[in-house]
Amino acid sequence: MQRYIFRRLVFMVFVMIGISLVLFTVNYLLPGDPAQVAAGWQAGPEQVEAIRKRMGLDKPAHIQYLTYMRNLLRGDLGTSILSRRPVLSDIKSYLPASLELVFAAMLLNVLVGFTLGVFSALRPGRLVDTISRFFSTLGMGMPLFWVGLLGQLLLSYKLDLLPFGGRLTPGVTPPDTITGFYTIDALLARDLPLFKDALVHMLMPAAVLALPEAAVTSRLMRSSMLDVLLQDYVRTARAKGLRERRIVWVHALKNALLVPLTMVGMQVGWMLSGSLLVESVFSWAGLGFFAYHGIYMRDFPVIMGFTFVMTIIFVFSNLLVDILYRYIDPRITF
Amino acid sequence: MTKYEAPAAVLHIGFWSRMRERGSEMSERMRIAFRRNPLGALGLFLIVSLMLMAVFAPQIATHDPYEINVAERLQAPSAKHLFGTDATGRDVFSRVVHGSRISLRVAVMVIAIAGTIGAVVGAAAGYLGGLASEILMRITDVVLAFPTLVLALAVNAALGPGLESAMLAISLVWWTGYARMIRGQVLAAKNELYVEAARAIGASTWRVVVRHILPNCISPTIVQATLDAGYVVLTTAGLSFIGLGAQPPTPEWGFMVSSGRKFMLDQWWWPTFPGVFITLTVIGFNMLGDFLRDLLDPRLRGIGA
Repeated sequence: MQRYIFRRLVFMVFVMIGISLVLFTVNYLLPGDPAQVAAGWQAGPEQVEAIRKRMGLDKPAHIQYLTYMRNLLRGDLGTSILSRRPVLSDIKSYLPASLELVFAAMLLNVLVGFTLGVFSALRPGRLVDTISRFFSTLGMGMPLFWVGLLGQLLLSYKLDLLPFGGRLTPGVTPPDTITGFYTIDALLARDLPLFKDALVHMLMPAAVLALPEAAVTSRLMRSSMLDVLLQDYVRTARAKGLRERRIVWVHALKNALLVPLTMVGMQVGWMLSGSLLVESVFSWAGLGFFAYHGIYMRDFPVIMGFTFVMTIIFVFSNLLVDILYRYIDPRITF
Repeated sequence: MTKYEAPAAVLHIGFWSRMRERGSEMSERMRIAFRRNPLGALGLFLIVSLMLMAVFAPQIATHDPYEINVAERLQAPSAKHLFGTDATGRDVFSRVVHGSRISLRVAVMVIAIAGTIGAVVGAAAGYLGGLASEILMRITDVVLAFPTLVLALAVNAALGPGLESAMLAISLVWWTGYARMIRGQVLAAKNELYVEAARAIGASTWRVVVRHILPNCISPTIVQATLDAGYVVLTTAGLSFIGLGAQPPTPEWGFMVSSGRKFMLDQWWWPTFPGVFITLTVIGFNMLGDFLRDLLDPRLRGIGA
């Protein structure tokens, strides 16, 4: 096991080098002259040349790549053209909001997806199954940002049930930062009304973000459960007179979980992509919202920093799922 | 047990009778596939309608999709404007109809580019093996390490906003699936008798791969391409929504939702209808893809014949 993790980590180093190469290439292709941008538009040619020299932009590409790499390793993701702040510190302040949203969405995805999948596998072709498959077909087809807008129209505007967006009601002071997750920080501060406020604000964005993933999860869970229920050991369990509830929820579920679980790692990636759209719809002050403004303002260091951090999270979550998978299913050897 | 398939040249004599036989086998399989997957018919219907809409867009549209008419701005759906009008008085229905051309074009282009890159990389990795395969597949792994939309966004931003750069950006992140699939197919086909036979009569590597191996990868590629088409439309809409991708005044569906979002509360029709069409397109391609998978599934061959 340790050897496997070690091997995966060594492989990760190569993946990271690859990722940095791709991002460097994209960065290199960027339109406009970064030296001119850094110098400001009024700067004369001599000033621009001086800055180009200082930034090392007159050096050949491979030297520039090494500089880029060294900066990355130091955690230097460049400076935002607009705010003039280091991109990394902005990302640090926006990251918890995104992670909180993705965690909440993942929780909903797992709860709804697994439950729907199991229930529709228990009664294939019946009402629950039909509804769940309809939901899953629709969930995979609808654009997230559009669902978000419709949700705002129906649930916030017409029915006045949920807030339009933001992380808290305007005017409410956020809890002291401990984890950066408003819900958890509010609980730690034992401030129940604040917790409720944060939770209510999170509900719709998290549900929208979870929708396409829960659609996939319920579909996978259904087919996986159907397969498992036909296996010999389930028949044995039935033959020895175990209660059906125990057979399904204990014996069968354990094995049926394996297939949808492999997808969870990928789903983190899809959710990170989706959070960009959902956060911009709901003005959720996370990384996606930050990047959305970066895109509008053509603030390239912000866009590249966002891409880098999102990719790192994705790579690590996949690694985590792979390792977890080996713990859960001892039959797997790599 | 794999069925021995004689090279086409050997069975040249009975070509027409074989084609007839093929045709009846195909319709038989179609029948079975429809029975197994009745939603496939719906998918087929949706995608055929979409294609007809794209082809006959000028005839179907009631107005010019670019025509500005400030006097009739922000009107609710009516007999004159089926889906209402937007902030400059353009007819939303006509724009949605013309949008089908854009979405189909994007889907076809992206899949053509991504499929070609994937086929070249996958075939080379599968057939050459060794170091070449190792290098090509590690490159594939690196591209796969990125969340799709996030990398497409970075590339799109670097190339500059616009539908063409969005297409190129999506293609550049989308080829990995095809590369992996075709590599697998080539690896499986490499040791088949017909490949050995082709090599034995002195066919070049290029000829063996292009004429003998790749044609056998067509069915899974068609299935994958159909399933992907919907997600490409969805991804393009997403990029357009955040301001990359399509630019004004293009009647691209995602861009229409994006420009109508500020008017959602009072002029709901503007962003709502384009979203409905994105959804129908994605669902249509999904159902059609599932159906084609059943249809082209080799395990179905001979059932009920």
